[in-house]
Amino acid sequence: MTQRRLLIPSLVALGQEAGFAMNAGVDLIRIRTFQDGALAAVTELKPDRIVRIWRSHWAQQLPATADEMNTVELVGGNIGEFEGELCFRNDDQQIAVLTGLVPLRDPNFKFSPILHQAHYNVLMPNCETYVVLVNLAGEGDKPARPNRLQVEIRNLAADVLAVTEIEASFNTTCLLPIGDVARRNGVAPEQGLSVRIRGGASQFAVFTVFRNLSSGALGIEHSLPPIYFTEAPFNPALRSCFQKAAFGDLKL
Amino acid sequence: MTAFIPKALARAGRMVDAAHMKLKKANPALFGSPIRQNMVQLYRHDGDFDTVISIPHHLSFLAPDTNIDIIYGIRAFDRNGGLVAFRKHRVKHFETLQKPISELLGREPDEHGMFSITCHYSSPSGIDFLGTTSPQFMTIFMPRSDRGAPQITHSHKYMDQFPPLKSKFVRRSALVEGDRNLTGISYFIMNSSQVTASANLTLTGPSSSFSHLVKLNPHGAARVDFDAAGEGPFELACEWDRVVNHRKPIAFRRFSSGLVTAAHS
Repeated sequence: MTQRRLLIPSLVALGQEAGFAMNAGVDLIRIRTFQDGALAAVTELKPDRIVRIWRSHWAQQLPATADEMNTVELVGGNIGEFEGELCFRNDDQQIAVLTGLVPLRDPNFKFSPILHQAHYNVLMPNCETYVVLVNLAGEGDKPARPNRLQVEIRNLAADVLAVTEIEASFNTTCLLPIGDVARRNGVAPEQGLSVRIRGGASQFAVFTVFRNLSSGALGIEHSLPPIYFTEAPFNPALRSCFQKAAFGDLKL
Repeated sequence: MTAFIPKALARAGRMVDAAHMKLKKANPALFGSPIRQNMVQLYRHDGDFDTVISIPHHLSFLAPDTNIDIIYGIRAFDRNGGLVAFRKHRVKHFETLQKPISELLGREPDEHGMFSITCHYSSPSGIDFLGTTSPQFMTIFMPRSDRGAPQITHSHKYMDQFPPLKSKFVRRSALVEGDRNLTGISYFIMNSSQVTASANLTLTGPSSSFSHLVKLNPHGAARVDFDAAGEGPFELACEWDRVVNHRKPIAFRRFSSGLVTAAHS
């Protein structure tokens, strides 16, 4: 049976401490901390049934970094349909989002590219929208190949305004500030933008974070991958046609 | 026996729905495209938040080589379940429909309530390989305060197709609430069915527990405020008297800083 992990991105760059909470009986929690894409620490905890654990409680010898990614492994207990809670805090507030665990793949697993339609951006003078891409290629050695994604920016009326590429290093957190990326590509964000992100070769979890640039206040939600919109990705009879339609023109 | 009848009827409902979808897949030109419809979510239009709905033209990124218009229907109810408005919007290939709910409805809604999204396609051609599709969307709660950040939640369950029969059940939220600066939590709960339903919300903390019983009209919504303060942990349990589809109250946490954050429970 495939092992599963809860992926915790770092929002240190936004002044937030990461954590997670769970309400389930398990025997052991094993947290792996990756920095610069490499495994930097492993922490094991024997939890109560209800726990909320912050980054300052594990890997305490390592200051949290902006590219850090943590994985949570739950050992024992019945966690079939378990949803994990990711939480982030500063001195003013706490945000949280419930999300599923992702499968831990074998070293030779061939990942499909991801498709994230970031249509829900709030881009105002005092608000930035971040796409948070956290990915797990594996818990062993990092793959040598790059993990590249195409970013296509459109206005709400469907005109393509810019196409660019980003690199999301394996086993890291990558923050993509939509307004900033748009400006760097000569696009005014305030008109309202929709962004299509495709590519990569890793197990991704994608979140959207809104940030009030004056107060630092945040809002967060997980993404809705294509399976929410169509049965095709998980239907063997439809999958290959869907892959060809969604990614056939993608060149990275 | 009392538990068996609702389960049997629910199963029969699912079988009818599956047969309906099968017919649509077999001949979408005759029966219409196979689309799972009527996803619901909360809106707020009060002193703390307004609501922006963001709907993608989902066929654009699933089937980029097609060129099909999607006609979205937005139906909103007030907190008592009365219809506020129903409006349709045509969205073209790769367009995004993202506007405040009052603009989408053409009128001001209630302070809070439930809304639902439907859609149909201008043509069923070229999208057979998508099978059953669903018009998912995002709901953005825009703070009235200059200091707040927008809060966001994705589309949730479908509106009930058949009246859910009476059968008590408890749903426990996976969210563990509590923070050193937490001063309270407001839960917004919706009735996705066409019959009256009751729900007993219980928030259990380390030293005490509080309960609120709410009776929800068909398609109605209610706000329940809890004075939950501090680290907790606080757990929400919601006991329904009917097996309604939508069982996830939306939590809005208040902090001593004046900031408010939201999540579905």
